[in-house]
Amino acid sequence: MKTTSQLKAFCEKALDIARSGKGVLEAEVYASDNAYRVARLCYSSHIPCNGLEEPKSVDFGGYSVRVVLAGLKGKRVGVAYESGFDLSAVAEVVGRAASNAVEDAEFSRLPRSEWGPSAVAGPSKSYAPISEAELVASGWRVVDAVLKRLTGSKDLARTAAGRRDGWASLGAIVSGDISVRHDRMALASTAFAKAVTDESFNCRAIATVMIEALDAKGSGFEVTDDISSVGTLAGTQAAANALASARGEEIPSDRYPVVLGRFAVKDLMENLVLPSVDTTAFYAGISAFMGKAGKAVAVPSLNIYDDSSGGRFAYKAGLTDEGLPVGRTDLVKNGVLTGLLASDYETRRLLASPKSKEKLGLDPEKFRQGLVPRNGFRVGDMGRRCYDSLPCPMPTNTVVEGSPDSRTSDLLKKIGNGVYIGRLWYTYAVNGLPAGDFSSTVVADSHIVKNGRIVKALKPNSVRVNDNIKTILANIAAFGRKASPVQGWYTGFVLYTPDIAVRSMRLDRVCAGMSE
Amino acid sequence: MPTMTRDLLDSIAKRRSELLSLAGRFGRKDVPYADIRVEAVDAKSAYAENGMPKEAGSRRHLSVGIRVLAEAGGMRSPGYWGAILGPEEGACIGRRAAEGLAIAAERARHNAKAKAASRKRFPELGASMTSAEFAPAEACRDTVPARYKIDPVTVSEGTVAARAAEATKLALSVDKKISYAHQHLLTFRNRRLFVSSEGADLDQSFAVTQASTAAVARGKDGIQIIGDAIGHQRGWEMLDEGVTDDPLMPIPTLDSFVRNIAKEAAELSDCPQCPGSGGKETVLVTDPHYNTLLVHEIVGHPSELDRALKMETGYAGRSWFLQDAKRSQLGLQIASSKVSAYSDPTLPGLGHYKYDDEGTRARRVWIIKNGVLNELMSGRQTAAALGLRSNGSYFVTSGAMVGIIRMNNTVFAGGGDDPGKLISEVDKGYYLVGHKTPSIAESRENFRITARKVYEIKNGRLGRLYRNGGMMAASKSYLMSVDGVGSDFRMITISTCGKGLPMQLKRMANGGPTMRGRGILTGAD
Repeated sequence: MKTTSQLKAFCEKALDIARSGKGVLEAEVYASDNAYRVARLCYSSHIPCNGLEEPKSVDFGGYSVRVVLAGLKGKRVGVAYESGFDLSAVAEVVGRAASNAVEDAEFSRLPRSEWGPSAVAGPSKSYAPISEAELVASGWRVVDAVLKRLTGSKDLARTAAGRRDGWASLGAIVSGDISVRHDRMALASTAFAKAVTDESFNCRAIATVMIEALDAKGSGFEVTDDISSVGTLAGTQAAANALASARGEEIPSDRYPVVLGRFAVKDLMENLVLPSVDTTAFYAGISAFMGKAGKAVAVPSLNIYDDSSGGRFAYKAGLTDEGLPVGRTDLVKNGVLTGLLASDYETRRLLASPKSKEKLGLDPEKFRQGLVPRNGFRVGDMGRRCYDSLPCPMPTNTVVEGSPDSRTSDLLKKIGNGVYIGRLWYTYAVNGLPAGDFSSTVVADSHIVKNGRIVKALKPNSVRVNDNIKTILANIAAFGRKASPVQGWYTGFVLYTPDIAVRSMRLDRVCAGMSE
Repeated sequence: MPTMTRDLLDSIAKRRSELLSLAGRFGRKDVPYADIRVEAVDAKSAYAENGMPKEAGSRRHLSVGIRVLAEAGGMRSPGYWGAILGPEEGACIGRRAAEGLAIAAERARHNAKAKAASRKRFPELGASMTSAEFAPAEACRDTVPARYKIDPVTVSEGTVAARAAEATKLALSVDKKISYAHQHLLTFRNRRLFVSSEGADLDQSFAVTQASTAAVARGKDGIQIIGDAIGHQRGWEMLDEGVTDDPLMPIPTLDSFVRNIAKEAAELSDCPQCPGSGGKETVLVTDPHYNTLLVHEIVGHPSELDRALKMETGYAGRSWFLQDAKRSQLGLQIASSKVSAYSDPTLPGLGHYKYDDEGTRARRVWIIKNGVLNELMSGRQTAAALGLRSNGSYFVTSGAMVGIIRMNNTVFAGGGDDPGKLISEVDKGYYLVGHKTPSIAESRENFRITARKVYEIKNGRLGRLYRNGGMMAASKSYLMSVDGVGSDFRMITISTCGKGLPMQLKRMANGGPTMRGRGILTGAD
């Protein structure tokens, strides 16, 4: 991997070439070098397997050149992407960017520091590369932690003893991964006095454990910046949750009061709420909250914010991929829509658009503080901080909070007779985001609640949620005390959320597995 | 620059013998298998919104992917390595592949040792962790050219940008209710080399052109968004000419496609919300476009053997087709005898290839034959787990990625019924036209998929048009209920389907004829 200093030097030299191009008014060079390490868990007790299937890596690096030229009516802007760091190719890439230039009437200029304090000088921490042995060991820590917990279960031992094929026939599965994402970037622009650099590192474990013979499924999650210890916690947690969900029962179709666990809240946030609190969605007119800026979109006790600066959170960035300051954006404050995920370009065009007042529901100038571009990241085919795309608004560390907070046991008391939903899957806005309707399956970590207590596990995959996100946000009854981190299968952001009680949710019984 | 890019695509072919000899060093006791994949890509793309070009870009890169099986501690395990490289590294691709082979082998050795230790540590649950095996396969050698009239490599970014902007202007001009339109265009050519320690030596090229359109209409009763894509393994000419010489997968011109999307969004924005059937089953006739997504979700995905073998449990999910090696739905009736489904990469279309990405010759896989579950899609490793031979369904979306089992051209087979009669025979029911959004159960055993349009059927005639409706059903009970399969088979573009980690977004073709079955009609929630 290139060091941030090497990337910076490359960007500076490339910018010198770009700015001297014929007719170039402004220029920007963004370079990134990225390392992705994955150890994929693949254990099954009843099917031949490798335990750890894919210890693998993908390394990729390169740069993009963006140039601004004079056009017939206004400015023209062009971009070109190139893999690798061949300085001798830069002039050709600049030429390509110039010939690609388009007359985008909504482009005003390259991002510059006018939104707050200047960008930081460089990354706060440097991370060492990961050895092959460490990568493999991290994955096996999860598998071993799960197998240890399962074989230590007296219930499972009894069940296995009563079956002809013993332990193997329990249908134990361990799935998920250890993923380590290491990104370094540098940006030099005619809009900045100096080139800037940054470095991000994200190491996480996601584990799913099943015991198919008992219809049991549990999840575990861990996020850290230390690969030497990651894995055991996620594995143990997933195994314990699977054991707790054994021999689940089904429930009839009805509306139920529910408590949503962190994996369930993540699905709702990732697929419904966050895509709706995004400048791009407002521009296109496809948010669930069109015309609601400055107005209530949820119960007054709900707060949602995104903090791209890292701080105590997992995803650490010193600046955005536009070279702009990172920080906290309040998206929903006391139930009111107060901010949107924004990049420099999206903010500028929303502020300038004659239709913005209609789209936002108020004068965009009055919403300016909610449109500060702290989330402009480049997300390419290989994920975040990639040279092969232009910046767009992306969540980083998203926090859901509410007040007053209660213990999970109090949330269960609050709903009385209902369902604890630990994990949702395949949540989609089936009638489009503006309608807010969604459908989703309850896949794991879920329980039936009677008289304020968990009495039985809910059979995984036996219930489909059919509801509306606007209704759900307006029907939040209470919040849990502890906000825990969670990350999805392929998502770049980390969500911090407590359990959340909702007064009513439509659950429809569906057939599960091969039961019908 | 076209000339440079052509050189990039051609340059990797010059490395074929060097790579073959590198892979040939393996096949020994400690590393019994190795393969190398190298890909060169030249892509042009553009994005436009509301008549304005937003971005025209080009991407050129090389990618290398390595897979080895290594033996240690009495066990064999896999290890992988991948990298995306700059064009300037074309000359040293052999050196980078050699570095990758060493790293992948080291990972595989650590992995094998750890597997042996874990198996010993957990005698109760460790027995299933066995030595990795691949099903035997013929070592094929071949060169397969791409099919195109206008080479994507020669198309300028400016041309692509202008075309995208024109398309959005056209969408806005269709109806005053269209408030927003966007257009993404992509055209690329790639070249993939695959060599293995067993002597496989393949050089396959592909040309792909694709257009994704969305239109937002504001009507009297809210906002309606319609998005869809067209794509084929053709050159840039596809956008202006459409595809008229492929009877299984005809593609309209871009202008005609965009006009229809915008028209439909405008029409639906004034339609009433679908009322739903109140949770009760009703007769539902579904058109080929709706069945494209239906077959994708409830037949294609669960018949991918890696899912069925639980390898995707924490990600894309499992399959209701298979419990374990001994208990499955294979050989059992899972659909009415009118229903057959297959996956066939030898057909033209977005899912076409001659050899899969581990060198196995492609063939048709009959997933469902006359209602009986017949065969699942596999690669060499997944086939070996069931003592089978691979049927050529191992696919990567980039040379640097690890292959997974993917559907390709996966469809409901056409039947003999007159599609018009499938509607006219219905006293009371609904006609679902076009797919929109899916929400599918983890093992694909039930689904809710919304349609773009829902027509009421009354006394054999189409009546009122609704928006925001769809079908919810258990997969097996829906398939068993099918009592009519039309003769109007066609394949339709699925522009993106995600699987794996890192996420691999694959293009494919799905499809089928008009079908009639029973399910719950869903409406607005």
